[in-house]
Amino acid sequence: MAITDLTPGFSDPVRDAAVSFRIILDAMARPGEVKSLPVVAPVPAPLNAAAVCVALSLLDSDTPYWLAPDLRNDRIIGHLSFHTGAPFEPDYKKAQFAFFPVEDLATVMQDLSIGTDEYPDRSATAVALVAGFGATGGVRLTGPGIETANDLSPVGVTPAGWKALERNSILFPLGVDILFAGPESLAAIPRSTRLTELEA
Amino acid sequence: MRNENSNREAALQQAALSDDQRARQDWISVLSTSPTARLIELFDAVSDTPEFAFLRKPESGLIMTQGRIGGTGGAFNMGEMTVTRCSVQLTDGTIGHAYQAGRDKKKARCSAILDAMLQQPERHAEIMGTVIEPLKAEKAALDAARSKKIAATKVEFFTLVRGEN
Amino acid sequence: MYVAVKGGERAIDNAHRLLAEDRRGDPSVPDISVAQIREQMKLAVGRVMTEGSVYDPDLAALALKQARGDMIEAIFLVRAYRTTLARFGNSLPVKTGAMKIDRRISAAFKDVPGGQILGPTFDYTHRLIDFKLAADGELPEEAISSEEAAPHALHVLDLLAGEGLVEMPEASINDEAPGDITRTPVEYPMDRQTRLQSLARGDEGFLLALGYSTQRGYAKNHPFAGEIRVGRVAVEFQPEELGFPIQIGEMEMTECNMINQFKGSKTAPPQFTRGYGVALGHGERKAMAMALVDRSLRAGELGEERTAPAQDEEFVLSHCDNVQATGFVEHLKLPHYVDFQSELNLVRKMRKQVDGCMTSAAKEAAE
Repeated sequence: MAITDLTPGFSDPVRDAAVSFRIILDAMARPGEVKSLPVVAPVPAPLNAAAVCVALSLLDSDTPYWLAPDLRNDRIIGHLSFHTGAPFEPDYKKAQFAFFPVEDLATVMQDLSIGTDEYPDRSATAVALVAGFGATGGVRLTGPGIETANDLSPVGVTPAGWKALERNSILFPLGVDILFAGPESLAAIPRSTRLTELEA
Repeated sequence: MRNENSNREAALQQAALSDDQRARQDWISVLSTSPTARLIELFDAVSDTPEFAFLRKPESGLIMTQGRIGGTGGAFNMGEMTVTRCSVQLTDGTIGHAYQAGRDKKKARCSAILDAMLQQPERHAEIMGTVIEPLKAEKAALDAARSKKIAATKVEFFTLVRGEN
Repeated sequence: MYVAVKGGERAIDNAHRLLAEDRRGDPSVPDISVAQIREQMKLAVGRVMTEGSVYDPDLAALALKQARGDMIEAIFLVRAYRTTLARFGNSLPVKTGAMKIDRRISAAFKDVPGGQILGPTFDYTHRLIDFKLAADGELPEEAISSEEAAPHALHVLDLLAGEGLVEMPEASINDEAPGDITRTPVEYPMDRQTRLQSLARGDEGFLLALGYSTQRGYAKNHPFAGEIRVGRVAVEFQPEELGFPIQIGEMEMTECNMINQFKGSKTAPPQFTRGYGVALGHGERKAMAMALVDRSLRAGELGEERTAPAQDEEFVLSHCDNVQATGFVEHLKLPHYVDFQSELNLVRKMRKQVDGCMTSAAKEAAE
């Protein structure tokens, strides 16, 4: 059970985690704005830089997390366990954080925890890995944190994926918060955001 | 019921630890229970300490300590303890870890390096002899001296009528 | 209702300066070091650790120095500090049966294997002020036995398990993840494990008074100190990266097993039941009081009628935390000007009405 294949996490864990946390917070507060990440940590493949920053800043021993089979290997589970103490949860319905390729958005979103009326905060956070953010297409976002409207186009979201996000926004105050994690930047669509699909 | 309770520990302890693991358990406990100043003094006296990189820089945090109801029953949380941990990797790939009560970062760093060196066949005997064995002996002597003072406070009842049977 | 009041920053700043100066006291008297507090005010340090719920003698000593000896203020400082630290995990349950004993007594059984070991105790002192201590710190000659104390003194009560006259502590279904009031919101009724966590960090004075009340007849439970032990236990933790448990340090702690008469119920035969108490460091009074209250809170489980405050779980547990208690009581010092103004107006209005009635009544009487 020992973890032997280890690499460092953030080079300055306290400062880097705080910086990274601030970026994630800003992204959540300004839905659809793509935020670049000034901090770097070694990235065990096939995760990407933003996903690693999210994991190292937000996971701890109280947050069971799930990795899609495509992203899962012993090295990553060991790495996250060593640096965050978070337990890997094989059943994504029970996970508080779910990391998966953005192509799986529609299927994964169906079963993630959306919280309860008493505790809406007990919902899951979805971290969808994307190759980047496009200039056109995607969705127009409105709602809290957006002055008029923001357009966001994460590469690789399927039409079914967008439908799943629309359904999610209707559940508010329940629902899942979504982070799109790219190789050098991230953006968020929290549950409070309304979506309209744009023509590509 | 006690069996049920001790299952968890038994499972952990008996998980067929190899001799190497048991030996490592032993030196780690010597390092974690020794006085900070003395450990650092002995560490500084070691020549040729190897190059290393941090896998995890020394950081302080908490571990929740648990007790058992009545001493042997169900587990419960008694209160936390400050703990400092550190992990290093030597240039040959050997990894050393330290988890120690308290907030001393230097002690954790020295202990992690020593834990790694103790796993290197070429340095093992030397570090055992110059660091681990002296620390272990000093601790044992302190404990024995304390225990003798404690034993002196044992009540020797002298009973006028012995028992009923 | 609180209204932000501006101004006073300079006064506050100056009050902090004065506080620092007064904390230091007369500068012609040497400053007290944290190590001196840790070594010579050990029982105060233990209490701060127990109720601050963090084992770290140096930290507790520093908190006491900063708090000018105010226990609850020091406990508050420790509680605030712990919130800044990440939790690495849970220890394995400590084995108090393998404690390196400093003291171990039973008030119920005289001839316990391993013997009655008094250790450093106030119990048989005469409580006379020792003026010699003011003059010099000279120590009496030390007494040393030729042999060491028995290394692993068994729990006294375990020795009686065979007869079945004393209940054995139950195993629990959630042994791997006992309830944790620092992680999940408190809900009543609480299981005994979670209750013990709450009592362990509870105020010594409050629990002492409640424990005392049970002895005086409010939830009578005929206690005997089955065993009290003080000493050092190994704290073990299993890091994922190692895959086996390691010792991370030693912790001084106190444990009390009370035994209480129990007449029996429909399901249980007459036997002795138990209450359990612990303290970090050397804290016998706390451990004993906690054991009494643990037992009285088991009223429901043992089918006893709940008649006294010490049996009321919600009452006891929601008031035993002195940081919460002091926060709510002491917040009354903060400006409530608007609150009070509105009540003042209300009382004036009511008074006017009453005065009005009285004048008209007087008028009627005169007519």
